[in-house]
Amino acid sequence: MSWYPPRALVFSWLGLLGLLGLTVFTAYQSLGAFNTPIALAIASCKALLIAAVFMELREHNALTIAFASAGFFWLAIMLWLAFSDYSTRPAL
Amino acid sequence: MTERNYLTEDTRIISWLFTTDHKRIAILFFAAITLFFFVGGAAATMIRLELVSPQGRFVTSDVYNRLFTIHGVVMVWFFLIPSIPSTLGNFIVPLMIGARDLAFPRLNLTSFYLFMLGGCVTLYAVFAGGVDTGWTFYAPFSTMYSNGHVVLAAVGVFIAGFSSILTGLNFIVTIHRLRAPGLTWYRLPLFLWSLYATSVILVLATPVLAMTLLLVALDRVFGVGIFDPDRGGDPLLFQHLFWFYSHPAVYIMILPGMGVVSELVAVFSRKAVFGYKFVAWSAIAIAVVGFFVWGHHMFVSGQSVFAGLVFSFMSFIVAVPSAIKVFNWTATLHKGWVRFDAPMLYALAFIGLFTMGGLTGLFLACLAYDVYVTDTYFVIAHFHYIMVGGMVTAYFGGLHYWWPKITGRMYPEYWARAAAILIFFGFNLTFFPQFILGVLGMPRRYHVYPPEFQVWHVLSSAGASILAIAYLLPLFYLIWSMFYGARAPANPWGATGLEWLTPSPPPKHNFETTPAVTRPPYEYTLGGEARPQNA
Amino acid sequence: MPETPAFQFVDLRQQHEVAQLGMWVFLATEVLFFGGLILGYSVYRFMYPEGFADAARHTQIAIGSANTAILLTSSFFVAWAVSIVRLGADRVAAILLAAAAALGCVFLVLKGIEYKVEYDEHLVPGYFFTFGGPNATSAWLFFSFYFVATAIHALHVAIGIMVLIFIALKARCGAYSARYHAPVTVAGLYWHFVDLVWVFLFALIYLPGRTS
Repeated sequence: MSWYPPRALVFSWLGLLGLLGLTVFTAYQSLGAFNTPIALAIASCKALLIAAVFMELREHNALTIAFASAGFFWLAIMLWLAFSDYSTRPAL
Repeated sequence: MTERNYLTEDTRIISWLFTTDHKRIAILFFAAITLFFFVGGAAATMIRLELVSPQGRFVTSDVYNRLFTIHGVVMVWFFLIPSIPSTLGNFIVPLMIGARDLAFPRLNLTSFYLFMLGGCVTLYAVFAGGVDTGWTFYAPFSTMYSNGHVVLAAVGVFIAGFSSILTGLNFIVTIHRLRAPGLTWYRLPLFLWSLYATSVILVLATPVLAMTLLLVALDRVFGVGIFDPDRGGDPLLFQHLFWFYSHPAVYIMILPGMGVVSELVAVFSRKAVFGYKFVAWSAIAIAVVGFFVWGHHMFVSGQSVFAGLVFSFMSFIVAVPSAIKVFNWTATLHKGWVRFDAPMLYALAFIGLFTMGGLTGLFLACLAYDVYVTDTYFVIAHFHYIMVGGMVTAYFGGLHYWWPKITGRMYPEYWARAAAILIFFGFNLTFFPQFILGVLGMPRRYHVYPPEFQVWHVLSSAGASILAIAYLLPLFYLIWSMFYGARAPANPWGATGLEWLTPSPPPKHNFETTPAVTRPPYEYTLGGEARPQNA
Repeated sequence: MPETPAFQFVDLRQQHEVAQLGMWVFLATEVLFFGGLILGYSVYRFMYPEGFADAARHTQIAIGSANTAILLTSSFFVAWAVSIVRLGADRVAAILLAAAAALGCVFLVLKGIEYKVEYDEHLVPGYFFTFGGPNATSAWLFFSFYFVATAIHALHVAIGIMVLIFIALKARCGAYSARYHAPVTVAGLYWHFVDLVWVFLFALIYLPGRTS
């Protein structure tokens, strides 16, 4: 039937819900300094799933993928260079 | 002039107000930015009048603060940033790529109305009493202590920012996807490479300004305290956010001018631009590396020395692509068949004045030297050499160059050359003394100063009065030419480029049939004849 | 129902491609718009790690998690709708888009309830804010960011809901077909992006500090 959802979509959705459960679960585990990177890594995985499957980037050409990544790349520049200030300030 | 062109197509006012024709929208922007140029220029006039005498003679300090703020806000956001992209860019981009319009004509019109709305809100802030924070809106003064109309001005600029974003978005998508068959990237005229680079900056930097201004407004209205040291906030966070946009913004305010100069230098030397690929990619390099240098506005702000080192180093790097362009333009002139028509006078002025401005930028990129001259008139002279000596000059050059295409009329050549020369002279007399003032220690944003500086201020103000007259001349003779100028042929300059294939002025949909491109731009025979790109 | 492309395009395929590219450029601007907030949050979290963790513990993780699941599901519906509109099933797509919009409304309602809870707990900076313990200053900063970021996000959700309803109504009237469905794709991209932003906001707002 033409109105059934494609399997990739269903699995992505279930995967996303699973990752949500995982990230909430790990937030309550004492992992010390790893809590934040793990939470961000899981969020990034969710974002990649949404971008690649829901937003269909995996079917698009390099130009579209470049456009999609540009914002994040520039945000990374902003964070990186601003932190070159904050992380090297002398302690008061 | 053919009877039916984009101007005569439908002459009702309503057809202009709801037009989606990129050419008409360009004309609307021309009118708007000219208006704002006079508002910003009026503020500049009052500033230069005030600075003739060492004591505060005409205005109080508070009013003076509002004058230089208004001058900066209006000139940056309502004149320079939209100048070439929204006027010449809007008009020429589709013609140059062989398209019938931009990718999103209705977004183009939306961009114009957003610009007007933002401009009206800002003008209202100006006339309601003004803002006294400087165009840089530094916190916590802007968020906590200023008693000017900060929120209004911030809202006005916020709205105008979306106008910029839409223009940039339109250009990027248009240049990627609406090029005529055969028009590969390396066959694009350099004006388009520059506008593409400009558009990348418009699209990626302006949203950060939007967020920054929003936070300032929220801070002022709700006392949120994000930049308030008493609440644990960091005023430098404002500066990082603000300059992340505002440094790339200065590249928005020069790259289109560089694009115009590339076109002019080629046509008026009857030669291809030397090192086309270098000039093309240097525009992209400026746009990208321009995002890495913002901290050079913050060397003495309290940011860490390490960050200062990184930003200083990057600021040296970003000068390289600009220098590459200057070398390549000069090499283009070498052994070219140079004509000194008015557009070329502007292009030559650009090369000299931009070089001076750019070199003084290197002085400022040196951490140690910047500590000495930061917040002095040295900085003011530096950026006026680039923005006025560079961008405004290029804007006039492009305006004269494409004037026949836009209006179907030739401007009076001797008046134009006289105005160009007067502008050059007036400009240097205005701003060169300011370098000296800066090194002598005159701080910026002060209207009261020690008497030993007066002679330089008087020279500068004398130059400004000449400059004011010189800038008025084109207003008169260009308007005159619209009614009495000689009718222009399709290609009065004998240039290559697809825009010169259409009649002057072009018909509403630009091309009867889409041209097929077979040649790179700027091909001239040894006899100086243009080889059009589609022949 | 435009079966012919707009005059500046050669064919519908070019028009569709251009529309998508345009939306991707717009989404890049949105990344940087929210990115300014992310920078501010990151800087202050770096400066006040314990304070931010302490403050984050006071957020409503149950509502936040529910909202995340709601948005993810609504995104699933939208992606589903886009995929079947291409096959001509525009009436079913309309139902899915309406369902996604409805889920978006549920998100906003839950957000409103959450805001009310936080107001009652005196966690709204500027409105009788009280936070016990040594981290009051950084908690104020945290909650300033929380309210600004989630309010701006909620505004984007509201705009998205209106767009989805509009597209759903047009789909129901048969405006879209296998040949012409660019607006559905483009609206979908916007909605997925709103979801994506929330995924990151969720990780930054609700998850820190849960281990004490």
